[in-house]
Amino acid sequence: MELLIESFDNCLKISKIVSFAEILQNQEQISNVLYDSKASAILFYVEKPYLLSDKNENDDVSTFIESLSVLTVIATENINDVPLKISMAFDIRLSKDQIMINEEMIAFFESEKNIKRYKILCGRNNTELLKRFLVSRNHTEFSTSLCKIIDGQNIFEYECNDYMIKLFREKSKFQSDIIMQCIISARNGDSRDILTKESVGFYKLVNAKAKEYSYGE
Amino acid sequence: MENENELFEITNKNNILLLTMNAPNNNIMTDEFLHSFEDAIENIVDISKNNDIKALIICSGGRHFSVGADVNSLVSRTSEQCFDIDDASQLPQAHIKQKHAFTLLYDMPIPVISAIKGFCIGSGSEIAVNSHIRICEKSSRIGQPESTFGILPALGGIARTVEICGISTAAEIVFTGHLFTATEAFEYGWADIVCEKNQSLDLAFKLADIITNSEQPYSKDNICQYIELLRQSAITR
Repeated sequence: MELLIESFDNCLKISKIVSFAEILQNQEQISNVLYDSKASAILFYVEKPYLLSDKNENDDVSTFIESLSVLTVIATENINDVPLKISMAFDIRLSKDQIMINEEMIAFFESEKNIKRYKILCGRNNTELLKRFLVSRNHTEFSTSLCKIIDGQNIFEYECNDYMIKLFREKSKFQSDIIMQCIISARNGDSRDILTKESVGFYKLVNAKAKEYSYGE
Repeated sequence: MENENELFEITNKNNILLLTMNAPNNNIMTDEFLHSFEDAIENIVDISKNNDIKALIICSGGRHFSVGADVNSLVSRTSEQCFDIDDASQLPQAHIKQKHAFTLLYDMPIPVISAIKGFCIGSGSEIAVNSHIRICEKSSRIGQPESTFGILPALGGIARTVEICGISTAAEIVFTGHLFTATEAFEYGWADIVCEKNQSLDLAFKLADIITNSEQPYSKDNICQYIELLRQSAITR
């Protein structure tokens, strides 16, 4: 079965994903469709992820996801079926469960680079809690904050769609793109980029609103 | 009293500066408010140079921290002076100066603590998020609704929210513009401490004391440790 690529509300959605290797095999097609759609976000809905047998494939998938110049989101019912290396490559993780604390997770965060990535994804205070946990190993006082938990009444996939729709509700592509560029520039960990982009983005949006008002008169 | 203008009061209590916001209409951020804020921050910098100032606490003298800017008049005023901007070199000086007053809070070498009650919205929340530490009373409501008006937070709101909450949560806060509670703020990492009504200022002073009495020089990297010391000595969330 081929990947299904759909577009809605400033978001490109990739589903019917059988394996992460399939994402790698279709990366050129995905990149091209993303570029043509001018979406501000890309949602990978993964129904049943299969673990890749090769660590290098995990690295290649992560590299591809991190290269995308839009907000990247992975949605899967059980995030713990996804290698941590891959799930942390995304800007946002949607799941029914939080990422479990286990030996793989602990070993993963022995790397300063991965802790730095955690800080970018989860913020200062949550990172301090992680660091304390890595010292104390007290499971009762810590849970990861990597996932946005989606546990509504509706079918999980539809709830995830609704989440993305909520993000971009009543926003033009122009505005969504400007805000998105500010947010994803945080990936490099340098707040100065974001500070500059906020200001420039603000004036571009005000200018657009002023033109809107004058066209309406 | 170190300094007083109509909208801001600066007092010095044992070398801890208290900046109290006293603007009408729940500290709504008019042009007058923002100019006065810039002046108040300049005064604080001057005072800090000439005295052994250990910390800065920011609070409201009224029921709400700040309801933020009047967005429609902000857009209207800004668009009157507006021209096409392609990059940062074209940003108006007035904006650069205004933003500097906010981001300077973050860059201060002394702890900057916002004691928050009531609404803390828009540019009001940008004062808080540029602070090093945020203490929220349980009844607080916080948000960055700028995107719902077609703009975005431009005074450090996005940069600092990403830093303290991470990309995932910051994206949701900024894109949706929804108001969240003090409890949610704590879960997000936005609030460092949640407390009962009318306790935020007292806790801010206690935290400032803990920090200033620490043997090591103040560092933002140690904020969680200071808060832990406060938790051990005070009733909080």
